[in-house]
Amino acid sequence: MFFTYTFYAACLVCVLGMIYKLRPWFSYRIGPPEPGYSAWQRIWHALRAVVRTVFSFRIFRLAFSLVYDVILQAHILRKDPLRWGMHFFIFAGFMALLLMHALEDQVSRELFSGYHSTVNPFMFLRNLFGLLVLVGLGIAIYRRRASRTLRRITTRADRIAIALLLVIMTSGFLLEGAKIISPSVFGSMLRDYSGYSMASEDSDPIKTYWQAHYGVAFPGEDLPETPEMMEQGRFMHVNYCAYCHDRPEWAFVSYPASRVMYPAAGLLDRFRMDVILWYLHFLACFIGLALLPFTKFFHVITTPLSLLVKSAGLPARGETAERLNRRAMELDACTSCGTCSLHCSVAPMFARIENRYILPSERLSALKNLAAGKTMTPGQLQQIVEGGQICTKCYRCTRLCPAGIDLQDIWLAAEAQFAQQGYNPAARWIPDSFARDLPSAHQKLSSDADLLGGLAAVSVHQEDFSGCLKCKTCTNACPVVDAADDPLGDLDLLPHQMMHALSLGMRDEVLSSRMIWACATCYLCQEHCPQGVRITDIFYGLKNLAYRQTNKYPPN
Amino acid sequence: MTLAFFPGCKIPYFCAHYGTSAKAVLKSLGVDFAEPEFNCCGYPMRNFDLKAFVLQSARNFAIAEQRGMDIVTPCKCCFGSMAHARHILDENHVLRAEINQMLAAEKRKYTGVSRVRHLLSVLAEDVGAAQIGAHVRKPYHGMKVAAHYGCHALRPSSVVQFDNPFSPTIFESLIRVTGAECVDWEKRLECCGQPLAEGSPQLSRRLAERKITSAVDSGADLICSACTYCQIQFAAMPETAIPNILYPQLLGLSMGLSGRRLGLDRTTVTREKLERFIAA
Repeated sequence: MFFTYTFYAACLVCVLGMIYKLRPWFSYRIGPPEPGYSAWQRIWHALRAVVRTVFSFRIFRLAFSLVYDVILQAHILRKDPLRWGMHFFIFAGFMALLLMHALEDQVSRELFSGYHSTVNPFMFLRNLFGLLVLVGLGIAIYRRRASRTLRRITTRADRIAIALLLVIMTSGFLLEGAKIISPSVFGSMLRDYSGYSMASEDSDPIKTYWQAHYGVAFPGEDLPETPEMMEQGRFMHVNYCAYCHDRPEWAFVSYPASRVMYPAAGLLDRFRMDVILWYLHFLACFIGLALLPFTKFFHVITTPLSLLVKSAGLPARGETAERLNRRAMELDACTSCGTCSLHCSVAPMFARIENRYILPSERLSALKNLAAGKTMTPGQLQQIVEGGQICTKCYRCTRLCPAGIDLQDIWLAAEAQFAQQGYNPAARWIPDSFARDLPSAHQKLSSDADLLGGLAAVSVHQEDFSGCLKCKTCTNACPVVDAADDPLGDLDLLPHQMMHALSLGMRDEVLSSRMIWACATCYLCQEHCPQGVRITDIFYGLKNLAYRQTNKYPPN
Repeated sequence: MTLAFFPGCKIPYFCAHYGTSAKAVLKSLGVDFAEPEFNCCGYPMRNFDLKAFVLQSARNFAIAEQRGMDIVTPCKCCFGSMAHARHILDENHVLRAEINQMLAAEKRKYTGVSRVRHLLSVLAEDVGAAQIGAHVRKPYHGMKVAAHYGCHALRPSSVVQFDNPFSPTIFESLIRVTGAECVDWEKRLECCGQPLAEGSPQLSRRLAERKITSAVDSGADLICSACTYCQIQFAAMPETAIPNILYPQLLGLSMGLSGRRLGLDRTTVTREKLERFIAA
């Protein structure tokens, strides 16, 4: 009764949770605010897209993807066999247990006429599938601990998912082990299937036989295994038990567990450990079911969906409702598996710039929080934007994502969105004050340490520019000066003036001049300098310094 | 020595045909190369943090060193940046120690064994014009090409050591192998403007326009580039008076490689136009 009600309650929570989790797919928006779509419009577009896909030849592509990507996960195998092993063991083991064991009344009994959970091959297979899941979990834990990047991005959600599966699997094995040794379980089965009572001496032969061959413990009872008793016990066993029972050794994980518990069998039986473990086992399963939409396990719905949407393909890029829906749905499809961050081509910079949003997986989850309307401090927001700007859009994360998320599309949409909100990617980290508000830039920079000290920190030293003769060769060679309508007005200082100002120690003028940010880094000035002054390199150094001094929210 | 092909970050999404055409040409010429997983060369970070930039390049060298390879890249900004980072690491041993300490966390080390080379250098020096010429089956006739050198490969010459910074010849010599002629043009060695595309878009466009005008004035039929960023910049200029092409595409077509492998559909020059010069 309790079992049934909790099961229905878990199902109800799960279904309601799913509905609740679907809502953001049609309301969250990543990308610029135009063109606007209402939630109903987006639902309508989504349904239309589904119908159009199902009733087209693309359905064959979808079917292929269902087998190849969703079930076999071959795309993961090709890229990372260890990761595939981890995921496939958990996936295959769990699905097999779900069908064969959890749904045994609906599936196994229907399919196999002689099905009993305690006969082979089912007893053996159940242990095998459980072991597969445990091995997969072991690899998962190992991977998460062995890689620095994965350690960094592992969250509570990942730990909860692994812990819940561990509880389900170990409680299952322990439950089976506890039942093997339990005299109470033996007693009730004996009563049900043979009519003998445990208390009666008539049951001694079968008890002796099961003590010898089936690992049951009878604490406090002396059951000598004499040949007569054994022969009599074998006879009873064949009559009442053998049809449903194979030797417990076939439960090759649970049986060793039962041997460990064996010495404490009396104590365990007094507490009815088998009942406790049974509650633990099915409650853990029901909690997993109820929380499915709210935990990492939600990806069993969203990741296949994302993969199928990817294989169906969307019409050309653009801010269509379909694309907005896909982006919003993809936010749920991310399992934070870390593949993107492990292969990210700018991630190594994290060792120098401690901005976690450099890592794609972290940035994606931050964008999800933003889309959900969570409030962020200006510093956090700035770091998210910066993380996006450090990203070179190299497309690697998109190509590797095992969930098929079009990350590139999300990055570009987020960039456009930030640009609309005033975080102009065109301006990069050039402080506005450089372009518009010179006095404030002066003030800000004046308060800081001396210029030479600062420059030395970025590998530019006084001897680098002290040789300047002010011959103007650099300025004459500069294509930017040449192209400007009003060089002095547009650039504040020309290259030769920059070198001169540097040697005079005019920190504020140099660091706040627009020349350094207008430099195209073509190195014509440096190449032409008769004195070998490293003008372009000095400009790079000044940009480093100006960035460091004016960045309100430096990553470190 | 096997080379490690370094595509750089912009090729996969923004300029895929440069990657496919460069690899197709290298393969046809029998140049052996591998494709380990590199990271960004750090070029985009140079403006903001020197150490982050050098760290990124150093990690690439460390990856190449582990495989005993030199790096070859089709991008001149990647080439220039990595060459520059290598120069800094070899000059500044304090910084080198600091960078190596960061790399040590993943058991990598920069020692300075592997070099970085640009695609054009590999073609000109390792393969050689004569050998390439032997592969040219459909030479162009009467086609005038303006070779766009790309700043970060040429300068600072003491660091990158690519060619003579004031009168380079490597690009023209490689173009002539295909039968095309090269024009001398005023802005041959100047900047395409791409580095300013985000920070000062107007200035960036103006620099590109001036280059294009100069190429047109010289009577060229095409601008030929050998840099991912330069190509992205030229491709972003709408309705330019002169089409542009990447060197491996120009060479590949004359070697008889298929237009699809070369990604000719993604350039502003039509295949018909190019083939007119072949037929003539």
